[in-house]
Amino acid sequence: MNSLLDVPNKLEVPNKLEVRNLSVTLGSRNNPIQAVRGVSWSVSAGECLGIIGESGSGKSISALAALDLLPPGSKREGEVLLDGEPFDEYSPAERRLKRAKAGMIFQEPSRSFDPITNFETTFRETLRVHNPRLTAVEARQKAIALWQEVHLGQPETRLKSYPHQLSGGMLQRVMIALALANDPEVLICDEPTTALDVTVQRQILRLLADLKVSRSLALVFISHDLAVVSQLADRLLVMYGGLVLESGPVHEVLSSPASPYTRALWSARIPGGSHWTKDPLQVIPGMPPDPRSPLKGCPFAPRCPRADAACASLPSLVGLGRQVRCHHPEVNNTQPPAGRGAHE
Amino acid sequence: MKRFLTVLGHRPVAAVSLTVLVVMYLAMAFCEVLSPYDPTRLFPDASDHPPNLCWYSSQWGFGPQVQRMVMIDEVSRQYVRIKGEYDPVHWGVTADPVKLWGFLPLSWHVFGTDTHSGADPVFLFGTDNLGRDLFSRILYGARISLTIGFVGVAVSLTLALLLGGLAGYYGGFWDWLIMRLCELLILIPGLYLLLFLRSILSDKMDSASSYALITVILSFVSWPGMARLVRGMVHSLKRADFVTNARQEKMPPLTILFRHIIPQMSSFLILSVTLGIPGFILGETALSYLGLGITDPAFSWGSLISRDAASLDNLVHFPWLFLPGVFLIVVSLAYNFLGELLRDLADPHWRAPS
Amino acid sequence: MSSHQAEVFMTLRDVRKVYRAEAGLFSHSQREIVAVRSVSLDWRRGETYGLVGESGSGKSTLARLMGFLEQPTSGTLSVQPSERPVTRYVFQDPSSSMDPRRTTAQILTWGARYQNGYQGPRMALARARLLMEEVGLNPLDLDKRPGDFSGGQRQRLALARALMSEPLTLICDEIVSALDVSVQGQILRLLLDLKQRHGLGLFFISHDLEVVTYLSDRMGVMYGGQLLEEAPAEVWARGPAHPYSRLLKDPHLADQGDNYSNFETAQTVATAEPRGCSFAGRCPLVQAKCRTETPPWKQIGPEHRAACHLLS
Repeated sequence: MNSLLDVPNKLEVPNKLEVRNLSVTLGSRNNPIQAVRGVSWSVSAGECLGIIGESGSGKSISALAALDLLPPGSKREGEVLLDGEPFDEYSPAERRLKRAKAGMIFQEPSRSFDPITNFETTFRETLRVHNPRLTAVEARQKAIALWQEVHLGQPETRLKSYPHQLSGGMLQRVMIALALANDPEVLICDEPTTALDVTVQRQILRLLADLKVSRSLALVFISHDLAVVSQLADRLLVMYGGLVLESGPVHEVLSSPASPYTRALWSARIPGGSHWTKDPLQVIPGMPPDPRSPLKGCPFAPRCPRADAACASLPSLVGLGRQVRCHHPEVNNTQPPAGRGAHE
Repeated sequence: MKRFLTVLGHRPVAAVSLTVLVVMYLAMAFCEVLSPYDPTRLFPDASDHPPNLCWYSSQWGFGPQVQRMVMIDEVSRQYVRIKGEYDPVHWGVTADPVKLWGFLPLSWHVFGTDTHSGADPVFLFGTDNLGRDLFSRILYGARISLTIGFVGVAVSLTLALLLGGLAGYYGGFWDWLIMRLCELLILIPGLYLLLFLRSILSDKMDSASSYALITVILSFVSWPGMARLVRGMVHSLKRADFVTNARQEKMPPLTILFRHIIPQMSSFLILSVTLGIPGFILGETALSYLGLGITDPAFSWGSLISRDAASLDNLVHFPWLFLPGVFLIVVSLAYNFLGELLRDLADPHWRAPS
Repeated sequence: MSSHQAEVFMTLRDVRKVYRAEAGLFSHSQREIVAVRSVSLDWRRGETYGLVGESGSGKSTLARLMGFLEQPTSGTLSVQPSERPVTRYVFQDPSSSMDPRRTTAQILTWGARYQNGYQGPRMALARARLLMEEVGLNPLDLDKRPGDFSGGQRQRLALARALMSEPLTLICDEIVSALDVSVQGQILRLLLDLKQRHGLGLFFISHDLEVVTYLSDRMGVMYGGQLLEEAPAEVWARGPAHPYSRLLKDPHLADQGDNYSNFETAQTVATAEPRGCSFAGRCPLVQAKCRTETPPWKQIGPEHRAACHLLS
């Protein structure tokens, strides 16, 4: 599992987008759901941060919160720094401009477009948000350039078409082009390939990898699929129950996972190509946590083979660069145990 | 039951509505003993008599009692109070003989005054221009007004579910036929259809058959709209996975229709029932108002309104005559609030906001 | 492994399914969508047959035909006569395949009444309890509603419901795709468990190659309504023969910039009568006759065949 492009460590590069100690509460005041409980991450230009987690782990919510796109009624705590500057200190008008520095693409491209507007209009409106004086011809030229950048053929004729006329993979490319329209520095991709076919998935991943380099984008790639994330991400963040359980460079995390959850997830991949009679299935027992009633201790403890009495208290996230939140991190020989001494 | 109370606890207005409706229907059921007088009994000296119940006098202290009044102007029917003359209202008196539910002879009434010894009769809501007690008439009138909704909705909903359900589930020719029939009926403006149907049928009939006739006419006008909605919903639900799954288990089509498909529409059905009942009550009122509904000697809230509250002049001078209208409004509103309560109850996803 | 001698349980010959887009009262042209184009396959007793394909390949339609949920437009689908119901279709989304207003007990037992050998509600309930336990659910939850369960538990419930009628085979249409990664494995393991305990045959449909190659004895690859290749799963995983199978197995091929990445002609919805190979539009090796002639089946190895003009 090599990432498509090896990017050298860029510790000196300033973070394009950073969240510090982010907590998000969703739902009504009577029935609050702690979707994210203190999450920090950052991403710099030309880097891809992969966030992995199951449904209800808070992976998408933390990204939405970073872009100030949370549904009304939800509460965000913690700091968001865009280009090193705290996002909250801007006025609402400035915020709107600043937010254009970050684009976002979603899982279902077919649901993200207005079905009765053709792409030319969609692009023109988006481009005019930041450049109101743009003429129709200029907008069209820019749109064509964007379509070529995402390798969509025949942009001149296709720009006039409507969402239902394109396939899922093509729509996802249009989505990416649209997200790039205002030259963002950060691109957040929320399960962009999950709804696509295997053969198309690969092409979209490849396109994102190319764009990361050519535009030196800071990519945040959210997925539930370790195999997909590992193809693109430089660093990995493993979320579970609204918390970060492990983070670090993707090779290290996957070759020597320190958190029992990451390890379980990695070894529970279905061994395709072998037959079930020869290769028994590794299974994680139990159910994903219910965000409505979060556990006091480690959220993975009920399903964890290494859990004991100590796990009734929440372990803290320990380490630099390579972090793990576990009382009993996996120790192995390929890598010095990252979370030793994690006991509080 | 526990769930019912939980839902009720989160909808206080609905709880009040439910109470109001229960009280009204109980009062309707026992109107013979609850009303102090026979609704057709005329009090010759008390035409358009205002309500005369009061709660305090120096003579009797606190308690229900009747203020004596006397008419001072025969033409404008103005009454004045006679100072210091009160008659107490008694619980459980013997007065007009009635037949409870049509067969149980009784002359016991829950309350009343001692009219044999010369006391003034109690007019809780006043009287009409012939001197008939309005309170008694409202109670008796409820017999028609409050039941016509039930019967009418039951008839039209049955028609709508059956025809709409079959059209939606089987499709094809029957769908075509039933839907064209519905459209034909919808095309004709409702009020004219009502008038037409009523006019081709005899207007000289007793109260029971005119009641039945009005119910049938109202149901006939209101089923096609509902049937079209039912048909549309069945049409989309029959492709749902759980219906396919039931078909896979060889469940017969009609069982699927009534066990799996129609229950999914329960919130719609509940709303259409609870909105339909006041609709029927108002429909009957409209017919009666036009003189085509319930006619004398039978009466309903609608005919009370049309007979007594028909002119502004009446309302200005004898405002109590509008009380049947107030009852109508209260019942309609109560049904609407009750509908919300029932919809929550039928919703499997409903959770108490904690 | 399935024995080569195992008797054939279900036979499909030239099965076709055409959907007609409903035309309005005044429109003359009727749009036709060919979902399945002439598929022939044999499904053996007790065998796990896997079917892979992308969205729109017609694999779900084929599954519904085999589950007798729909009638083929033409072709024959024959089944060995049996006392027990032959197939049972399990839906992808358990939350939509169960009536949300019914309790678990009702969901499990209502269907039992219409099966052969129904022995009354008491026996049905006893069996429901047994099956609840077998699929790893608490039998005390029989009075809960589907909404009270998590996604994984609901899929367990769906499997229990399918087994109520004691079918010979289950047709599983993407039954794990909607579940969380950590739960998918549990359901697959349960499925294998049930297969062994009840001697079930499985028809397993998925877009996920790993799952299909792991679970199946034999597998088929579908594209654009056509079956393009059929092979024992292990053989296929080692070396698929058809150009489309090769692309599926190794999406990196699409990186090489040849015709494979021609995503624009991804499976066109066939509105006219389709001809030739359904993959011709994307195939890097395409020849003139691929577009006009339906490719013949070529035997590649034992039990391994592919439909392609270019293979010999």
